[in-house]
Amino acid sequence: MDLLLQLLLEALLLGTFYAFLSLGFSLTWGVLNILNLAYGSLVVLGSYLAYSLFNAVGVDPIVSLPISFAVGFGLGLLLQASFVNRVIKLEPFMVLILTFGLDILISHTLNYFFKADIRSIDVPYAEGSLVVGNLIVSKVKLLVFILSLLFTFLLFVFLKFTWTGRAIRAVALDVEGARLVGISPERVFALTMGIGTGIAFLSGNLYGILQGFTPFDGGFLTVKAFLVSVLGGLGRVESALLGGLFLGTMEIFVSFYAGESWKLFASLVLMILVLIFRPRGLMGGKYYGEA
Amino acid sequence: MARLEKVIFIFFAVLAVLPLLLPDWPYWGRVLSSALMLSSLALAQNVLLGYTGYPAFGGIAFFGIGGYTTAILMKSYSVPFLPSLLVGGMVAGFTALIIAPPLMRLKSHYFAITTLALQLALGEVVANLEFTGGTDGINLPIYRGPFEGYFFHFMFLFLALISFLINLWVDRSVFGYALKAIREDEVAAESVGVNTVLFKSFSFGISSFLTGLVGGVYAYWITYIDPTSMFDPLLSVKTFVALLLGGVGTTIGPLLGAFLLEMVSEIVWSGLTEVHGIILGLLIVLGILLVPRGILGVR
Amino acid sequence: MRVFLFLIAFVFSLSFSQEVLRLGAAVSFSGKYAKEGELLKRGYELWKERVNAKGGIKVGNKRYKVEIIYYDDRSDPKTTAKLVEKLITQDKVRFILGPYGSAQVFAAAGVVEKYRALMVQGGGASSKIYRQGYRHVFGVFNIAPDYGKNLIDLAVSLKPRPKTVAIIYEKDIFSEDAARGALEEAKKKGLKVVLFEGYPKGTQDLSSLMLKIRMKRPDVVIGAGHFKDSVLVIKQLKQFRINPKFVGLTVGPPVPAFVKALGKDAEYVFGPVQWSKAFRYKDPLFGSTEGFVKAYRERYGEDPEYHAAGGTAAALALQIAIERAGSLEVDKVRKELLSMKVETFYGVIGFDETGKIVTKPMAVIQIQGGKPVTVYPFREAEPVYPKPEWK
Repeated sequence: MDLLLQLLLEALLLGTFYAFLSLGFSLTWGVLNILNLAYGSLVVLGSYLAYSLFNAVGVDPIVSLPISFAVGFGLGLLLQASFVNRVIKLEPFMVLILTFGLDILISHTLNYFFKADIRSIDVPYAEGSLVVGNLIVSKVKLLVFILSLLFTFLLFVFLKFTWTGRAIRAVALDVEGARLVGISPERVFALTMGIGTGIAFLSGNLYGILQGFTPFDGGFLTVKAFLVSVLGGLGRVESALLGGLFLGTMEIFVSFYAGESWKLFASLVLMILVLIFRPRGLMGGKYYGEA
Repeated sequence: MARLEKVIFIFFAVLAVLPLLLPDWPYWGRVLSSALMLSSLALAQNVLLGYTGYPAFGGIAFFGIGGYTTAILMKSYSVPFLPSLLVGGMVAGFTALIIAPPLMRLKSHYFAITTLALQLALGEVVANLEFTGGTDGINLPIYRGPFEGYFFHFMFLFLALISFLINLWVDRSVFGYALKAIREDEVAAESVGVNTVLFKSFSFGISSFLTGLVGGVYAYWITYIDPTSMFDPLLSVKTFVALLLGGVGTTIGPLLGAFLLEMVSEIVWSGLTEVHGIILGLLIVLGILLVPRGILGVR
Repeated sequence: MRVFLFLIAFVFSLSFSQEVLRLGAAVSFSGKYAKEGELLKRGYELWKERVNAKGGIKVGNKRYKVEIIYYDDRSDPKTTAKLVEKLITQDKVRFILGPYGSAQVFAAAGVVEKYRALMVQGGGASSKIYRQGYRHVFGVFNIAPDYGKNLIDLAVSLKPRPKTVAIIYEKDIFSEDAARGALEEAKKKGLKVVLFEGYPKGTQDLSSLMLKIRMKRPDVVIGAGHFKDSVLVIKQLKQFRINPKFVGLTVGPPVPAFVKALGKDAEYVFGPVQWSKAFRYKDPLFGSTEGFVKAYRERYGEDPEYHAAGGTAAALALQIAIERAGSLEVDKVRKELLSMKVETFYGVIGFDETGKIVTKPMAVIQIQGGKPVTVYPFREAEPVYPKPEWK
């Protein structure tokens, strides 16, 4: 019983982080219809940004969170301006290869500057763990959980209750319709790309706090983001939480009972099955607007 | 036959005698083998993407299947190379044939990403099993025999030639017309009586059979294989870049693209190991943005 | 006249200019094994500088100055294989100094064998390397199962005798081999193995394994992995407040960076070593083990540990074989390697027909006061046991 509780607790902490991580990916997918295979590498880029800020300038990895978001947002706008507009007209799978090329570019550039060494950001005040009865919780995981939950909630409020957020959902649902009521889809696209990349950087910052990372972690982070997105469906922020918890639970239980080595395999098989049998996700709902 | 295609045959003939002419053969042999290997992969993929319209981004899954089957047969069961290779190709081809019907309900980038997931998943399985050598990989026996320095050059040349001939055949045959019909409009093809599931499955099967053969020769050539090298997404993307660079859906485009890419990356690789990946990434991004239709500009 | 003099000087200098023997090494300078790779390179460099200072390698009547071409394999065996192929085919190197890491050595071995080059390596310990029937690959490391075996042997010699053991390992060619060595020995010595489980390469979070260890409360925890894993294991053992009486890690503890990375938490951790500066042998190049330690300290400002020593020993074995053969032909040098039995600072070096070293012992160290001290089978100090709880 204790064991089950412990595992569920771990799943909750991990799953919430995955949920937040995936939001940037699903947002650009739902609104711009871009499957961004470079997403994971953007996350890792965020980790290295936080790492560099911490080591070179001494910025605390919590304090660097807003900086990460701002830099990511800026980069997103830049990406949008430089080629996303051109790319939207291409065949979807060309876009796929393009983003994969971007992924290679980012990861190898990181590798060039930082080498393939495992880096980590130490948070001295979150070292160690809390013990409650027979349960044990690492403080770092708890910290990342709380922050992920907070950011997810903020995004939820933004999309649901602000005019801009509603505009994003409107564009996701129907570009031409949105244009008719006076929304500029181009500006919404730019904004979405900015927010999406901002979220990638933010979760990268959190990822760096959570565990060690290397330039080549991007690939399996993309798999996670993709999986959470298709599991939950691209519907709502809430459904990302569901997808995240599902993935977190699966990972924890697979690695406990089948062994750590089968974790990624389980995720990939699940991804294939969902794509073949439920391409609209377990929750249904294709776009953010379709709530 | 178009004139350019005749030129390709002359090109193959030149490649066949080149070992006698080139100085520093071990080096050039390696470069040419890499280029011919990439050509074969691109030509194999062309059958599927170029003529049928399905991008198997994870087609390297079958490269891995072919390579591992060949390696295990040779290493653990002491089967000679050629039979092992043939079985390797067939296992790859039949696997594709079996999974094609459910998998090919998906299209475009969904199909692409599902095959990619398949490729990565297979890599994980191989890394976790005992008889595949796990993450340690397998050291194959070393080829000792006649034409020791040229054997693999001729193997790859042969594979590229076969792949090219199959592309020629698909380009001209009724089978190929059916595939092109599927590419242009699958529903319409179905309505005029093309058994689309059957045809596209066969297309996938042929493409994977060839890819499996390439994997088998590669494994024997390189002698050390492991899950990350046999199921490498970088190889997938390289195949696609070669294909897109040369022009999809043509018989000579894939060859052109593969040789161009391999020569460029050889120049880059031999000098600047460190930035190899950066340049490849840059090449892909710029290539797709600037020449989305390939050099030949078809389709 | 001046031109004539110049010409004479030129010809003169030519006839005395030394020929160069180029060796090649693909070593990890980045990635998982960057630490060990750097140490290995130090070992090679120390040897090279010493040999060149003495006038170079003597082959017959000629003396060759040594040069070593290094490439970074990024801790990736596939890259190692490519780079070794490049060394042999493009740089025309016939003698390869080994990479670090069993998977890397394994990958390199196939290529070396294919081109009939020769490799002596002090960086791979997996027994699998020697089960391929290769003729051109030699290694100066005791094979991996000895790592686990020595740890268990030490553990059961301590009072109160431990009863249970948990063994976790990275799924890599070396670590699994080492873990199995520990498993066999534990069974033989009557310890109860409560956990034996692997995790994939590159894992950065061992939570689920830690939860299992926490439930089983073993007396002994053995971690088989490489440097980064070792640091992670200690960090997470502490994080999960797991307090075994004995913690042994196959790789990491003897490297100075281990204490640097963990500080106080590194205290009292045990680790097996291929070589320790407590060894006492004579040496043809450095005079003795002490001579080697002194030379290393002067060059790098810290004490050598076994990774660097392994590098120097591998290169030294190659040098002795070349000089004895009086030839740069691979086959002749190979014959000398097979028949050699020579005392060096590293222990007696001699190989069996598969190419692995069979003539030297291993040792176990413990971190005490921030320094690795040899505690078994030689005793520089008494082992501290049971290990105090985490602070």
